[in-house]
Amino acid sequence: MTLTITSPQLGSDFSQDACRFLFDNLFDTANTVVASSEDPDFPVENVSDWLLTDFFAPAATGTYHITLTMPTTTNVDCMAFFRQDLHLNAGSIVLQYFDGAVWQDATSTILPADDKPQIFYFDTISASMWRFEIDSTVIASIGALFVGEHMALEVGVWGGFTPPIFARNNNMITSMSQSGQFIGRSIVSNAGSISLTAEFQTLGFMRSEWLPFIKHAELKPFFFTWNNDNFPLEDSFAWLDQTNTSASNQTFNRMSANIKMRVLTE
Amino acid sequence: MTFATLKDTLGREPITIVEMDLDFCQLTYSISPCTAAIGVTGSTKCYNTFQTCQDRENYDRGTKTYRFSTANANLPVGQNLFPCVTNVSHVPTKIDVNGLSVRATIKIDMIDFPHHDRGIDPYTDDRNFDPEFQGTFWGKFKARNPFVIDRTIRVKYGFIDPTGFDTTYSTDFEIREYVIEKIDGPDANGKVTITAKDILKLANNQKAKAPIQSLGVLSAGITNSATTIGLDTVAGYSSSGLIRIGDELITYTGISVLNLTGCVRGTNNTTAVTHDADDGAQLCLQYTATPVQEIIEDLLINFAAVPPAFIPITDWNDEDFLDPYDFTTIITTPTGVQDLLQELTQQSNSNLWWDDRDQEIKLKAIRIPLPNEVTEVVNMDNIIGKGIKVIERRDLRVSRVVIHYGVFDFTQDLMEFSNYRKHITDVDTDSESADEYGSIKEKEIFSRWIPSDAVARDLSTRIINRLKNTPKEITFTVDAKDSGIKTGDPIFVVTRQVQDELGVDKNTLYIVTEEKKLKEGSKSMYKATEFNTGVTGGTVGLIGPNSLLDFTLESDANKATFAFISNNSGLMSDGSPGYRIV
Repeated sequence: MTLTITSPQLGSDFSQDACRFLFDNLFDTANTVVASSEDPDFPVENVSDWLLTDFFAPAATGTYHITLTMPTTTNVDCMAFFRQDLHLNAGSIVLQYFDGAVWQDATSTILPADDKPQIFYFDTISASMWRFEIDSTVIASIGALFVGEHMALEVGVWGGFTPPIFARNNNMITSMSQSGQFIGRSIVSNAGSISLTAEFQTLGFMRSEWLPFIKHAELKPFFFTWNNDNFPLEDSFAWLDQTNTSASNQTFNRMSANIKMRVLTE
Repeated sequence: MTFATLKDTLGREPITIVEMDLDFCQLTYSISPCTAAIGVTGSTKCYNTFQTCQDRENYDRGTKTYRFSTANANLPVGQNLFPCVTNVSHVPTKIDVNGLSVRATIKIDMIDFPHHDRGIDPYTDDRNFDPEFQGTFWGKFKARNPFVIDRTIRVKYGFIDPTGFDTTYSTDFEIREYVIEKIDGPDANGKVTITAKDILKLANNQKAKAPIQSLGVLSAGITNSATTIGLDTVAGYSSSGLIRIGDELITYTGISVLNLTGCVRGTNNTTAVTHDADDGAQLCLQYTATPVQEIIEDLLINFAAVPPAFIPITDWNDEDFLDPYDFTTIITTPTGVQDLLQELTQQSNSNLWWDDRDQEIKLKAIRIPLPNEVTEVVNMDNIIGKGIKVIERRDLRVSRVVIHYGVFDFTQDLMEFSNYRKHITDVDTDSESADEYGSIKEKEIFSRWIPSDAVARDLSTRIINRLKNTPKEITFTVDAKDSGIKTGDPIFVVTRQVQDELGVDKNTLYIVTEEKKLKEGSKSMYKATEFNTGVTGGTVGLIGPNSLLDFTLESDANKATFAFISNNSGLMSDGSPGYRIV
């Protein structure tokens, strides 16, 4: 008798493809990245260096483009951004691709309501030229921008996982008076801290998908959705918070790995 | 929202910004008037700093501001901030009861990090290396910017405004300005430390002397009666004045080519003697019946190079209690400005300190605050927890003052009793009696400045009135919302650590001598010294103008400023204590 165990019966609460990582940014492999308007103190390179302490900003208001020319036709199924102030003045952003004749929208026009990390998924599109069309009535800044394909765990997160929005890790400094009264409080915001276990992933997946992700994550941050099925808006900007990123074999010819991450959700 | 509003908010998010203004060339490499060219003046482009400049004749010094911040997950969008500040350690200005304050020092620790040079290097596209993978931010920064001494650094304490970040870095911030002393690091752990001091650092004895060392020497020997004196240079000599050669003071009335003319020999109780060629001729600094605040202003601006913008001379001139202190002296050798300021503040019963919040140098007479000047009351409702300490400052008590003044010969030892014509001794016999402290605590002053008996006695009276009783020193901590108190402010403190004879918490007047942020944006520590008025009971007030109404008809503001006549019981018609003339 053969016993076949498939997800979700393996123990994950959610389906395949629910837990997603965005790390392979087309900005890194493009032949050229050109902004149609650019403030020299805030160049376009700042938007793809995974740093949230520098920003891209145009030289003027209105509509402008960040255009990526790829060496070959490239598959894309998602885009993401974080730390922008487009939302302060009803600015908009849309991802487009060149179909050989005209520019087509890959996403609908997005009007960010805040500066939380946001990821937008769509059916895979293949093109060799991509661009972001951004419109703002004031000079707006963007910290991080991503376009590419996502990587999803074959088996999603397990029970006991802390969703990033609940991984609050702020320092509170409280003042109490001599008479025992609460008289003041300061907060220092910190990134949340979570632990994710990728259980029961196939041997092939770990080599073709997980290992490239880990090599990226050892150097740079990434975008992360923990459950796109049920909580598609709970996106995070994350980075590894450990030195040991090894994976190990399990039973049933599967592998598991545990990583600790710091996450920003707002 | 403003800083004042944000600090009162529960759940406020503190942030500290460090701004450095460093030199930066305003030209573009190889664009006229810059004549630098790759392959001609250098193999790579400069970094627009003097150290890396390849055309220094045309170097056009401007300023570039670099900003660093404490780490916070909520840093503002669109701002060029390096969140690498790990600690800000503040040794605050400390008002010394003897006059000149102790300098404020600030140490800012930062952590080094890899950096792509964008926003720092104007020519990143023209480099043949990837700066993100070569060197570190501070390693490269220090090599490009070695000239940082005495440049301006500002520490801005503030809060992240939930309604929108203050991109002017002013409204939502309490700003404190210093001058950079040094930048150490990065060390093996990547730690960098910036040390800076307040603007009065410029008056340090090593940096500033008055008068400035004169360059002239005698071009030939002179007799004891020569009235024309030849020098090898007259650069730096005023058109007329007083010089010192050896131990002789000589006035002159003019300069002709390289000669001082109209010389009067052996002035100011010195003896005319012969002098040899190459003997130095030091220009002296004289003040005659000059208000003390003007002397201090002159020393700071003209000898310590303190920018005049930091000296509120109008406020200084409004300090009525400095009026008695018009000083006269001759300074015959280059003397540290810090030492001179110490003498001046001590002998005018005043305090001089750098107010790093108002960003100006304060000069205030040490006097009893008027009731309307004491606005802060600190008590158990705003003192944090157990962070309060009260000690007796027995070292400050003074029961008698001895002042030597009227210098005989300004070229001789100014700490020598025999070099002074006049000596006064003022004694508080009550405090020295067996019924009180039973001991003598003497303060001796050798004054090159005090011109008369009246000034000397005014000084001694003020010192004794203030210090004949041992003052307390109190240290306490408050929340950020109560941190509006500044160094130099008079405050009332009510705490069970200080009680009256009935066991009631005593409302005691203090002067804040030190303020320090314990936790930026959250808690501040204060140290304050009790201010003894020298009298028992009563209320302080000024002699008022004729236009004042009767006490019952006057405004509360005027009642808190001017003195009114009390009844025979020493009380006012509303039952409050009567006024005392002190």
